[in-house]
Amino acid sequence: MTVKSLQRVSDFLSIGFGSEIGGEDEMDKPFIMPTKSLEREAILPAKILRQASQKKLLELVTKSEKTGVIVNDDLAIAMLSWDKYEELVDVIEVQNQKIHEYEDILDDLHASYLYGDKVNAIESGDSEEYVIHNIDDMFKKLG
Amino acid sequence: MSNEKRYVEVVSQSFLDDLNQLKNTQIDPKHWGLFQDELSSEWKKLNENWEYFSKKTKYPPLSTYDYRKRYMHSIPLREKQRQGWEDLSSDFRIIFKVREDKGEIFYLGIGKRIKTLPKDPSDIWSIMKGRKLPEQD
Repeated sequence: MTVKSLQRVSDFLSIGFGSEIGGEDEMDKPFIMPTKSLEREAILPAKILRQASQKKLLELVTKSEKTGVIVNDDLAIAMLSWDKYEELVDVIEVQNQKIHEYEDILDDLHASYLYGDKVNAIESGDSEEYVIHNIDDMFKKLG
Repeated sequence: MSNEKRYVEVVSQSFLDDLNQLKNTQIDPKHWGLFQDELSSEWKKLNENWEYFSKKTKYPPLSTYDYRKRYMHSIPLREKQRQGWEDLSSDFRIIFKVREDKGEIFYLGIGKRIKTLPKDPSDIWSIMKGRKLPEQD
């Protein structure tokens, strides 16, 4: 991190975002899929964290989707507001639930296709059935 | 406490065919013993409390005749974890129904769960795609 970029970051931390934070427009914004890309302004060296006030830190994470923190020349830490973090967790939970629902539907369609004809035969009384008294005996009789 | 089973277990020929196919082509022979233990355990659970351990199927003709499904692990979860399986959810599905009037739990089939659209050309989706439409006959 050069002196110039440190200056840029310090300047960035000095910018006031207060008027744009927490308003109704902010609250009503639809969820935007996060990306791995970072604006240059949203990359900070870790040492800046010691210099920034709590207010500035809060403004920073509220203004940016996420902030990358450089430690030992590596982009090592992602910083985001707790509200944003909760929003991400909620979205992941909802999407996981949807995936399970779709998997369930797909599997049900597959089962109906696979066993449809057999079920119709069975329910018409046109099939063989076997009473199993002991499951181990059933396993032994398999080919 | 009585050891009597709640239902008599009955299997269809297709259930036996499925098991034969699983044993001969789909289950690693090293895992066959584990699979038998898993199925025995599911068998017991369903006999005791199928209402809790299974759910309704959604599409006809299975749903029409009240068939239900139960998802199960082909081998114990801890074994999947030990072997580093990526997907640790249930990988098999049992289709069955309960005939209260006869006091029977009737097993129709057992097989691998479908979680994605398979790419294997011998798989069911390709067979479906290859079928003639009625108007082509």
